[in-house]
Amino acid sequence: MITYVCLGILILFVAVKSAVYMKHRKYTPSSDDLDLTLLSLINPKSERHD
Amino acid sequence: MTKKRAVTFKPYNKTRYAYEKLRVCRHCQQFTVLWEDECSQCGKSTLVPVRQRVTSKVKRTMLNERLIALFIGLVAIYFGQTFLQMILSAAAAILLIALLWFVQRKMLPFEVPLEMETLFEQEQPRIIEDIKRNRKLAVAALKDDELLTYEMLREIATLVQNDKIRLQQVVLLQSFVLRKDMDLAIEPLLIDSFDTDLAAYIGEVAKVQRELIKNSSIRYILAYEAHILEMEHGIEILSSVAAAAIRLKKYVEAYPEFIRRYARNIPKDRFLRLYRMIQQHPDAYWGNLAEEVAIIRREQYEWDSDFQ
Ligand SMILES: [Zn+2]
Repeated sequence: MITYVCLGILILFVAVKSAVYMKHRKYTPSSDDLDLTLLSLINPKSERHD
Repeated sequence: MTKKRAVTFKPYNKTRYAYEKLRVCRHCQQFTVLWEDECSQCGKSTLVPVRQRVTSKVKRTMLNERLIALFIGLVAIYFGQTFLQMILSAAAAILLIALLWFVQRKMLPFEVPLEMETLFEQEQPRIIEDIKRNRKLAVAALKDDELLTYEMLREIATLVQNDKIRLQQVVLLQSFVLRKDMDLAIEPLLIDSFDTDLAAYIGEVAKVQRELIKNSSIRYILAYEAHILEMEHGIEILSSVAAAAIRLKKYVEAYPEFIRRYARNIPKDRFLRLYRMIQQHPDAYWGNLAEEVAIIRREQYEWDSDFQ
């Protein structure tokens, strides 16, 4: 019985993890996006012309 | 004005993306944009590019997930009631772990940028703080070595983009003798307001590296023409930029009036180029420039065989 429960959990675990990865794939930023994010985090708008 | 120094810049490694300049210490997590081999905080040679750091972190998380899956699989096998059940559980577990591993491998290139974004967001205050430390280091070097300060600021400026750091670089550049073989730039140093050092710098670059004079530099010079004319060598600056603009027909066509105003002051080789350009394209729109060029030719180069 425990074997089946464990295998069930394992299937669920792999399925959930795979689903999470697929979801991340959709939201992953491009290198250009990353640059923009980093530059806007480092350079707040108010300081750009200091 | 103090005497200009002849210097040679350390090669500047231009990265495709600005974030590639950012490195982090694996040991103490301090960030840096400079080129040092050892972390200035902990002294260890553990500085790695952010992408590398994040990739190993993501790989570790993925490994942990596979270990969890393995553990669940082992429990399933352990509790198998018959040998056959144990064998089948083992096969199922191996298959599932292999599937997980396959998905993880496929998703690594998507997972890493996402983690990097999270890292930037979470570590924003520390990144800013550590870059400030880089800047303090650069300014501290100023007394002994202006060149080193400039080189450090140039690196920092890939990530820090404000007028202050641009002008700091321009002022330092103005203390060096600029040459053709130097790795110079104008566009990243342009600011919105007028600055005499920046105008003088553009004027000098126009003489040694004409190809750096593009639309944005011409527009800057034009926007502050009146201010520049008030400067000691103002006309020289404007004439150098006009001479450099003659490099391409599109700039002459875009700014014929500007070039007309300084056509009298440009060197002969540049004027000859302008003269021939207008000769070859009589139908292009030159405004009053064509007329002015004809007058200058008559006045200054009447008997010059190059103009025949
Ligand atoms: Zn460190």
